[in-house]
Amino acid sequence: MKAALLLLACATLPAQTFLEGHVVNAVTALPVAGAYVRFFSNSTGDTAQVSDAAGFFRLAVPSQRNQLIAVRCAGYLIHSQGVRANQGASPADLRVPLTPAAVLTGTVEDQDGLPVVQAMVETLFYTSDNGARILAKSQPAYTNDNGEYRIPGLSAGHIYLRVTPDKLAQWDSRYGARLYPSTTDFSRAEAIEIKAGEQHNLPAVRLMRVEGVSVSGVAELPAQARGGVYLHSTGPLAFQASALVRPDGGNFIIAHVPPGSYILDNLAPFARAGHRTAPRANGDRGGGRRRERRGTDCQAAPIHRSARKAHVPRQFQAGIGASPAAGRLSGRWQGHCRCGRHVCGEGTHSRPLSHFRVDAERPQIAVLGW
Amino acid sequence: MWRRSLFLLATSLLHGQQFDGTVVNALTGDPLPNMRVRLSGARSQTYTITDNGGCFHFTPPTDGMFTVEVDRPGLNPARRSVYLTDDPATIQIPVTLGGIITGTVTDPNGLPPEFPQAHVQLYTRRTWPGDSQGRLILVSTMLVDDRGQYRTAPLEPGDYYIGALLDSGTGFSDRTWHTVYYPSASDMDSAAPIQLASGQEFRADLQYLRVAGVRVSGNLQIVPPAPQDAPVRIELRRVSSIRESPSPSVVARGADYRIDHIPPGEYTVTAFVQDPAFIGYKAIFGDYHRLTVGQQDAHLDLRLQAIPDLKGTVTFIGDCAPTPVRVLFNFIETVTAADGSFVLSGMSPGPGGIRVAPVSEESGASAVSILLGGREVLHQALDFPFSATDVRITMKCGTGGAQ
Repeated sequence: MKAALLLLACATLPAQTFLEGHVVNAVTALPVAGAYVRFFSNSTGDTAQVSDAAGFFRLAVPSQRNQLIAVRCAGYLIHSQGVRANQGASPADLRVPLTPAAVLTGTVEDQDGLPVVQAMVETLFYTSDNGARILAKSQPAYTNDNGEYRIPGLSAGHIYLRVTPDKLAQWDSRYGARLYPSTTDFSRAEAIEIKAGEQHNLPAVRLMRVEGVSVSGVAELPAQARGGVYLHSTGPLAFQASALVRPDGGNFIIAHVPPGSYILDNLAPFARAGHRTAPRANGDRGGGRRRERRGTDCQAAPIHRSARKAHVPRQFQAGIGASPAAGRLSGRWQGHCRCGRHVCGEGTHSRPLSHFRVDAERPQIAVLGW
Repeated sequence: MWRRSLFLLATSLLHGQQFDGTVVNALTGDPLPNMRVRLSGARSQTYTITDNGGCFHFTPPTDGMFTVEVDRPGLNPARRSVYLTDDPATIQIPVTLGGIITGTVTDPNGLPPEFPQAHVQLYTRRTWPGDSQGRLILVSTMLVDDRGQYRTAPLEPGDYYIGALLDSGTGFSDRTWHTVYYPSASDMDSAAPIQLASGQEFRADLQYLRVAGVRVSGNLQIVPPAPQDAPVRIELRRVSSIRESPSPSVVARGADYRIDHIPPGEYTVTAFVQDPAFIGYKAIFGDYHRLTVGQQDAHLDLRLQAIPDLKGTVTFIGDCAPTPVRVLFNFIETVTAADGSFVLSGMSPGPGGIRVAPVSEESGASAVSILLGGREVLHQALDFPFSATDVRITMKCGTGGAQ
């Protein structure tokens, strides 16, 4: 947050001075009590004061060219600003406007109307990234045992709501992510208008069971290796599922895939003996987080050495549609070796295979190069 | 929690016809409506919910072994195995209502803590055969919301410890604010357990402690050939039944260091220099001490030494076939070569023990001895600096081990 503070050049303050001011509601201009006003300084340490009932604060600040403060108060957006002071005198009364933050609350229930626990609830909103309009997401909230969620700190604007019921999907894999009010199609999702400072109570999001289709196939793995496939959507629904490849024949199947566009990734194979690069059941694609910069005497199992060099053409075929899909994922896997905590080699352990589309109404066969 | 709640009882049921079951409160026997029920067979799963009388109905597609599972927020899940035969039967599944711990976290000024950084951790004590005292296990970590509120459920009946953890001196928190354990203890060993009964909702409000504490300072020396201006990270961690979060660490570059606002207590002091060429954590120089902090400022000189690699071999005895073995020390991990040799590189100063595990899941080998320079450290922490750098690990197969 410090990095985000606005730096303003101003006159040098006296060595012993105080920063005084009032914290006010930016909309109503009423004083805000209980706000933390913090002055950040790497050289002298941070100092903070709490605004009183009149919103008043008085903060001892050292002499410094740039005065930076940040203000936090429950129910408001965090505010930061640079402070300009009068030369040789205490700064004038500072007015710190806090913008009320909105809160979104609601419940999530399953098709039977029972509460859904530990569902991840996120807000999606359009923002700009280097001139491009992108869909960003908020910090997630999770439903409690009553199926209730609460997302604070929202700015005014239009948002979408996405619910991902991982725990419920473990119970019944026909349940998957949904967009408010209850759709898997982003074009049918409703935008929610959020006003500054309001507590917005949404009607319950009811998750529906979706039979979808099964995506199955065959993946050829190096001998004695195990791996998996990972399916994730390219759209805002963020559907994702993974399946281990059966060692006998290389079959895999991912059931209850709703219509949409997806990427099918390979999960890193791992040897039955040797270095462990196992994908985890929750979709973690394994591998290490660290990369050894210097040369390492990597004691990789031969399986990985050969796999790492394998950049052979691969093919992916999938029959997809309303009926269970059948396909074939063939080729050799790209892998990497690992020495203890060190990951060596330049290859990535997972890469997109191809895009394909599951269309419930128009079954089709896709033969895609890899 | 799930496994502890299993009810593995075989019951005979009528094949080919609808069979009935009832879900009841394990304590009162009252039927429980609106419970999710799942019938799992070898190739299929069927779902339903209980009616107002707690009853559910299934028509099994085939005969054989099935599992009936019950789940719903607020209760501990239950499972029961059934075998379909020609004998009609009705099953009854008792479930335990979970307990709830809820509360509000406030800072020393009585205001909600910073969102979304603030969180609470829930612990309970687990015991194992041969270890009657057991040790505290982390059950869950929960973020508190913008009002400072948290809620955790369902919990099995039992004793729980809860703390509101704070990385003081970061964000909007003050360096004199510290982690609190219920009800208002500064460390886990002084905390009081929450005795939670089935279906009980317990309110545990927590307020961060404000303790001015004292200053810990001293001289800092790095044994050559370390660059003298290398940044030294120093952490104080309270000695406790759990791995406490460290006090705010400091980075010192000069000939001395200081850390302020340390509350009284027993601490471990860890100092280390990281390898600048390595992305991530890899200490190359370190020092480690235990320190008692009282009401007066404390002085402790630190002398960092090069951290050596530990080299060793793993040998197998009995009918155990040699197999690759993972060797671990804290967060360091390596795998033995074909001849059983290994090198643990990037060791960290401070307490920690060597652990081993076969890479192959089929191997039942386990360590029977770990010698560090002739000293048995199988169940002991390594002192720092290490008394030796050669490790001899002996492994033996148990029942069902590798052939």
